[in-house]
Amino acid sequence: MENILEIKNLSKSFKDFTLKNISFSLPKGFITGFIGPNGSGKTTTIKLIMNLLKKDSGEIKVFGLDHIKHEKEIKNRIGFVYDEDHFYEELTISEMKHIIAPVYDKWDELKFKSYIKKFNLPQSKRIKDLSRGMKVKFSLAVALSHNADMLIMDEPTSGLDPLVRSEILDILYDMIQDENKGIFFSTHITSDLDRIADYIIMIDGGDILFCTPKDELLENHTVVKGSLSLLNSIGNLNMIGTRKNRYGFEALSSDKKTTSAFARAGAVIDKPTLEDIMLYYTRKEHPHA
Amino acid sequence: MLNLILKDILIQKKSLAYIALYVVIFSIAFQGTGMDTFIVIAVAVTYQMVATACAYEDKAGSDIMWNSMPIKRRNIVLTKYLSVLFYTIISALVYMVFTILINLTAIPISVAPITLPGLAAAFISTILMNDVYFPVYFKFGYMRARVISIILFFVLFIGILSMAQMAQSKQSGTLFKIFNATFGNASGMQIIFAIIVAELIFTLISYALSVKFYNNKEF
Repeated sequence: MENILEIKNLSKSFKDFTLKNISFSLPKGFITGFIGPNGSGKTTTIKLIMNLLKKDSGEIKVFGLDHIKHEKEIKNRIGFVYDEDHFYEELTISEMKHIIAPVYDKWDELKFKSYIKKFNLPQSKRIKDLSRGMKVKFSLAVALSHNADMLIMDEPTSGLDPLVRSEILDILYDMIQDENKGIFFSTHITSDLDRIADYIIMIDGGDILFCTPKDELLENHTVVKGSLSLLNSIGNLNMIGTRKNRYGFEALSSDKKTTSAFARAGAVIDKPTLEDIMLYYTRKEHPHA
Repeated sequence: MLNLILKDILIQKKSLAYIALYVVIFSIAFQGTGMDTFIVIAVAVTYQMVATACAYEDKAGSDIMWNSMPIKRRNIVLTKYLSVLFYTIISALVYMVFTILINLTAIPISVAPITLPGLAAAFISTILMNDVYFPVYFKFGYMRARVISIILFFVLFIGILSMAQMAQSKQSGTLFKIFNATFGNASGMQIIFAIIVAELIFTLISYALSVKFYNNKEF
C-alpha cells in the first residue's frame, strides 16, 4: 500500500514538552484520525509536517518527497484546515479568495464556487462577520479548491455545532472516495472519527501509542464492567486502564483471556467507542472510590 | 507575488483615508518652511502603511497560513520590501492629486510640486527606514519591533528636517562639512550614483538578514 505521509523517528523538544522519536505512516485512500488529549503533541506533529516548526531530528516524507527539499511542490498538493482561521478579518470572502487563488498552481475556480454555493457562504461578507462554522467551511472550501491530494486538519470541528460537523464530515467522506487522496484529521472529538476514520493514530505525552485500522482497534478492545468484588477476585490483569467507584469498576481490555475470565465470572462486556479507548489509554488508572 | 502586495494594501483599505489626511496636515504644517514637504509625507505615509500591514498580519496570525501554502519564505520577505516602493508611489500619487486640487481651487496653501530629486530622496528615505526595520520585524515580530519602528520614524523625520534646515541656511555644520569633504569634487550624477549603490548594498544586506531570520522562525 502506497503511503502519502511517512514519519520516521521525528523529534522536537521544547522547554516543557518533547515529541519523542515518533514514527507512523498514512496510507493513500483513507481517512486517518489523529487522537490524543490536549497537549499530547498533535498540533506539534502537524506543524512539523508543514514546516511551521523545525524538527530536531527524524524524517518526514510527503508523497514520497522530503518535506523540506520539495516544500513548495508538496504544499501545492496539501489542503489544510486548522483549529483557528488565519484570514484577515477586514477582508471579504471574495477578496481573501482573490489573494489566495494565485498562490496555487492548480486553483479550480469552478470547484471553489461550487463549495461556496454548497456551504451557503456570502462572498461579500467580511471574515469578521462570519460565524465559527462559516469560517471553517470557508477554510475547507479553500483547502478543497486546488486539487489537493492530502488534506491536513487540526481540530477543525472543535467548537462547531453537530449539524455543521456532520456537513463537514460528509464532504470529507465524498473527498475520500477518490482513492488517490488521503485525509489526516487531528481531533479530540472522537465521535467524528467513529463515523468516518479508517485508521487511528493515538498520541500521548509526545509518544505514539498505536497506529491501527479503526475496525481492528475496536474489535481488539472491550469494555469490562462489574462489581469491585469481581475485580478483586480476578485481579486487574492486563487491563489498559481501570476506573473504579463505590458501585463497581469499568476497565478497558485488549487481552481476550482476561475478557473471557471476567465474562465467565458475570461481568458485562461492551464494545468500546474511540473515546473509551482514548480515555483509558491516557488515564490508565482513575479511581473515584 | 503581486497578490501578496495587493493583500498588504487591501487589508488596510479602511486606513487609506488617513493617507489623504496626512497629506493635507503635513502640507499645511510644512508650507513655507522651504523644505520638500513631499519627502516628509512619503516617510510618514510609508511608515504608517508598513506598520498597519504588519499589525494586521500579527492580529490574524497569517504567517501560519502563508507558510502552509506553496510560497517560499524568501518571497514573503521580498514582498514586504517591494511593498515599500508601492507605498511611496501611493503617497506620491495622493500628493500629486492634492497639489492639483489646491492649484485648481486656488485655496491659499502653498504646495510645492514633486521634483525628481524630491522623489529620489523620498524613495531613498523610505527604503532606508525599512531596511533597518524589516530585519528587526522578521526577527522579533510586530509587537517587539514596534518600538524600533517608532524610533526609526522620528530619527528619519528629524534627520530630514535638520538636513532641510542646513540646506536652507547654508550653514557649515559638521554634517555639511563631512558631506563637502566626501563629495566636494564630485558631480551631481556621481553623488546620486554613489548614494544609489550604497543604498542598494544596504538593502541587499537587510534583505539577506530578514530572509535568514524568517527562515529560522517557528510558528
